[in-house]
Amino acid sequence: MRIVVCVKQVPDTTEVKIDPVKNTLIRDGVPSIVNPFDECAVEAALRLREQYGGHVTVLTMGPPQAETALRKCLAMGADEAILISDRAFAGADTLATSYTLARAITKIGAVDIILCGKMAIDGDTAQVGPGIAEHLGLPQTTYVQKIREVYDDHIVVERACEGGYEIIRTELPALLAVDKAIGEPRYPSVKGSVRALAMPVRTWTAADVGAETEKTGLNGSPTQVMQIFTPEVALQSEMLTAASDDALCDLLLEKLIAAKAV
Amino acid sequence: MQAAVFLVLLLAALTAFVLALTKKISYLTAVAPENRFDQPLRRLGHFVRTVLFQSKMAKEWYGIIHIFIFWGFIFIVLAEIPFIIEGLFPAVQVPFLGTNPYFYLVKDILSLLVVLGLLIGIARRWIVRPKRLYRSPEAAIIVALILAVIITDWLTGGAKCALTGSIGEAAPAYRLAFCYQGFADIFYQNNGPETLAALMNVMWWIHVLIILGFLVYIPNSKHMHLLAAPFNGYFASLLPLGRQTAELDPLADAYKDAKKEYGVGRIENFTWKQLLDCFACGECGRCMANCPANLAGKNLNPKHFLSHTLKDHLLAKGEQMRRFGLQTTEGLSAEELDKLAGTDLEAAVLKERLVGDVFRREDLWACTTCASCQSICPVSNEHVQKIIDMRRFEVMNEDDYAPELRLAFRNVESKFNPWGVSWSERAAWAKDVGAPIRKERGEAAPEYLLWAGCAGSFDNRAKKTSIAVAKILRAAGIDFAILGREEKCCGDFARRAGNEYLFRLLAAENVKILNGYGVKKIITACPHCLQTLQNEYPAFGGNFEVTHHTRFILELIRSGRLSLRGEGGPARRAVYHDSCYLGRYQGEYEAPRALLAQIPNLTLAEMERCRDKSFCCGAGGARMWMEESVGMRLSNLRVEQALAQSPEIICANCPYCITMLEDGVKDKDGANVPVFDPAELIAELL
Repeated sequence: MRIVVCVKQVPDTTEVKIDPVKNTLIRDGVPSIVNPFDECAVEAALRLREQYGGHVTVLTMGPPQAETALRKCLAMGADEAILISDRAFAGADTLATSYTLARAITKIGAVDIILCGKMAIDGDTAQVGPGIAEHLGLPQTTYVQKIREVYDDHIVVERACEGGYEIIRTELPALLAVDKAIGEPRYPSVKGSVRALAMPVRTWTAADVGAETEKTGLNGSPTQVMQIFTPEVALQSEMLTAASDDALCDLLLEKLIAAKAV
Repeated sequence: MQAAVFLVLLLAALTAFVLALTKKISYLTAVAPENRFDQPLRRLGHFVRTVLFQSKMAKEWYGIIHIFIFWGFIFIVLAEIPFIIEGLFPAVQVPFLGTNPYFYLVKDILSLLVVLGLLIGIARRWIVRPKRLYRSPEAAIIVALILAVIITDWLTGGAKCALTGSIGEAAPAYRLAFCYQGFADIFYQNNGPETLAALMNVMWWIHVLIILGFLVYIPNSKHMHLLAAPFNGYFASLLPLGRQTAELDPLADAYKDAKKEYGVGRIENFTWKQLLDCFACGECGRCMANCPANLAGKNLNPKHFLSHTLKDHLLAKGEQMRRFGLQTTEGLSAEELDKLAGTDLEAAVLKERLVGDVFRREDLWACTTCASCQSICPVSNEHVQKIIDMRRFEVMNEDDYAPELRLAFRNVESKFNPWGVSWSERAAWAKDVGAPIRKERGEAAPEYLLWAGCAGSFDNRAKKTSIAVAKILRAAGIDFAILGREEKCCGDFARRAGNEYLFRLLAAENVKILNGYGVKKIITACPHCLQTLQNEYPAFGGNFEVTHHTRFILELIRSGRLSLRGEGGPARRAVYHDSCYLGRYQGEYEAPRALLAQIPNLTLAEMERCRDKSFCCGAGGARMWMEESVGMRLSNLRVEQALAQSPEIICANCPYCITMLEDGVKDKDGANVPVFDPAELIAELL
C-alpha cells in the first residue's frame, strides 16, 4: 500500500501573538512544529503500514527550513520525505497550495491513500486537503476519526459529525483528512530520531513537479487578506456569595432572569 | 620432608588461587573498556584516604572494627612469613620481622583487636541482626577462618614460648608478644618438651592448612572484596558526582549502525571498573541502610544489586561467553543466540537481558539518583551511573518506559519545560518583581544571570522563591537579568532518566544562548540546574561560575551589601532538609544553615538523617515526573523524620524538595507545618 501524508510546518500557535500594527503573526522566536493534526495523519499512515504493509511518504510544501518537520515525521517512522520548495510558491493560498501538492502527488505516482490533517492550526481553513482531492479528481472524506477496514479497491472509515459519526465507504485511491481521534501520534524514539538525521530529504522545485507558474504562489492565489485581528471577547464574571446554598440559588436565578438568560 | 609436603600444598593452593583469580579477571577484561589510569597522584591520594586510612569506615562507630581487622590482617599476613619459614626451618631467623620484638608486639595488639572486632561483628550480625547485614554461610566461614588463623597462631607461638622455657633467651623476638606468653601460661603449663614440640608442630600445620584454605577460598567467594577493594579505591572516579563517567553521544557515528546499542542492556556493556565494583563490595550494607527507596519499602537494594544480582550474572554469563568464545552478545539476534545456546540450560544466560531478566524494571526506576549509596560506600563503588546506563538502554534503545515520563520528555521538547506550560510564559513570574530580561538589556551585559529554572518559572510554589530571590537581589543592588523565554529546561531530569539525547539537545541550546550573551556568573535557586550548569555543561563548552542562591545571599549579608531588619517575626523552630543535589552532589551543607542563622528568633533543629546522610525527598532522578506506586512515599517518610523534631517550619533549598515536602505534610493528618525556602524568610526581612 502506497501512502502519502501531506504535512505542514506551522508556528506553535499556542504561543503566537498578532502584531497589532502590521496585522501579521509575530513569529520571532516562535518554534515551528508539525501541525498536530498532520502528526495524527502520519500516525494513521504508520498504523496502516504496520497492519497492511506498504510505504509511507511524507510531503510538505514550504521554505527550506520545513525540512525539520519532515525529519520529525521520518523520526516517527515514515519511509521517505519530499519537500516541495520554490520561490515561485511564495504567498500561496489554499488553492495554490493544494494545486502544488496535487502536482507533487501526481509525480509520486501510484498512490493508494492520501492522508492529511483535518486542518492546520495556523490558518484553520481545512481547505487544502479537500483541494488536493479536487485537483486530483479523487474521492475525499474529511474529519475521519477511525479507519475501519481496508480493501484493495475501497476503504471503510468513520467520519465525525455533530452528535455522532457516519460510516463511509469510499473507493481507493482516496484522500482522508483525519481528526485527532484517529490516534495519539507516537513519540519518536531516540533511535528513530538518529536514523531520521541520516535519511535523505528530497527537494522538488516547481519545475520538478511540473507546476504552471500562473497557478502557484501569489499568482495562483485569489485569496486576499484584508485584516488579521484578535477578536475581543467581552466576558464579565462575577463571584456570587450568600449565607446558604438556597440563598445562593435564589441569587443566581435572579441574576439569570435579569440577564434574560432564562 | 615437612618442607616438601608444605611446598606441594603451597603450590597447589597458589595454583587454585591464581586460576580462580585469573578467571574472574578474564571476565573483567572481556567487558567494555574505560580509562581509569589517568592522574596517578590523585588516584594514589584517594587510595591512601579510603583504603589505608579507611576514611569512610570511621564515620560509624562499628566501622572502627573494620579498621582493626584491615590493619590486623596486614600484620598477620606479614607475620606469616617468619611463621612459616621458622616452622619449616627452626634454625632460621627471618631478618627485620622474625627478630623484631616490636613487630610481634604490634601484631599481638592488632590480633587482639581483630578478635575483639570479630566478636562485636558476630554480635551485630547474628544477635543484633540489622537488616543490612546478610547472615550468609560465606560470612560465617570467613569469621571462623580469621578466628582460627589467629588462635592457631597464638597456640603455635605459645607452644614455642613454653618450649624454650625461659622466655627471652631462646625466643627473644617474642619477649613483648604478650598473647604468645599468655597462651604459653594458660595451655602449656604442665607439658614436657617433647609433647610441646609435637603440639607446636600440630598447631603449626593446622594454621598453615587454614591459611592455604583461606587463600583458595578468597577468589571463590565474596571475599574477593579483600583483593578487589584496594584496586577499587585506586580506580575510583575522580569526576564530580553526576558527571557521566562513560560519555555517550547519541549522535555519534557509531549509532548510525542500527545494531549498536545505547546505554547498557547487557552486562558486557558495563565497563571493567563498573563490574569491579561487584567484587569490591564487602556487603557491609551501608548503601542499603541509607537508600531512601529501600527504606521506603521498595525492592531496590543497592547492595544486593552489586553483590549478588550483577555479580552472579557476570559470573554466569562471563563463563558462557568464554565457553563460546564470544566477545559480546550485542548485535546477535534472539534466533542466533537460541541456535548457539541450544537446549543447554547454563548457556541460556546468554539470552538474558539486564533489565527485565536480571534486574527488575521497577527497581531500575525506583532510584532517585540521590547518591547516598555511593557517597557512603567505603569501597568507592559507583551505583548511580549503572542505574543511569541501564535507563539509557530502556529509554533510548528500547523505547520502553513509563508513559508519564514520556509526557514529560514531550513537554520539554515542545515547551522546554516538563510541566508543558506555554514556553512564552516563562518570564511571567518576573513581571511584578521587575526582574529585567536579558534580551531587553541589549548590549549592557549585567554582572549576574539569574537562572530561574523550570520550577522557578512555572511552578506556582517555586515561583514564590524566584520572586523572593529577585527581590533580594534588587534590594542588594545587584545588576542581574533573567533569560526569560530564551531559557530552556537544563535537562537534569532527562539525563537522570536516561534520555541523553534530549539532555544534549537542551545543553547545547542553553550553552549557545548563555555563551552568546557572554554569561560568566549565574545564580540559581534550583540545585538541579546548579548541578547541570556547573558540573555538566563544561563538557558542552559552557563554563560558568554558578552559585546557589543561599550561598549568594549569605555572601551579600556578610559583605554588608544586604541588610536585614533586626527584629524578626515570632520565635520559630525550624528543621532544615538538605537536598541531594546541593548536598551530596555539590557538597554545600553550610551556606543554607548559615543563612538561616541570620534570621532573628529562628532556631535550627537537625534531623537524624542530615548533611551527607540526608534522606531524599523522592523527586530526584526524574522521579518527580513519575508515579510512585511501590512502597511508601519517600516524601511522607521524610516529613515524618522532620516532624520528629517538632518544628514550626521546615526549610529546604530546592523547589522539588519543597513540593515533595509540602505534599508529605498534606498527607499527614493534623500536621500543618509550612515549608519555606530560606530566601523567602530573608525576603520578609527586607
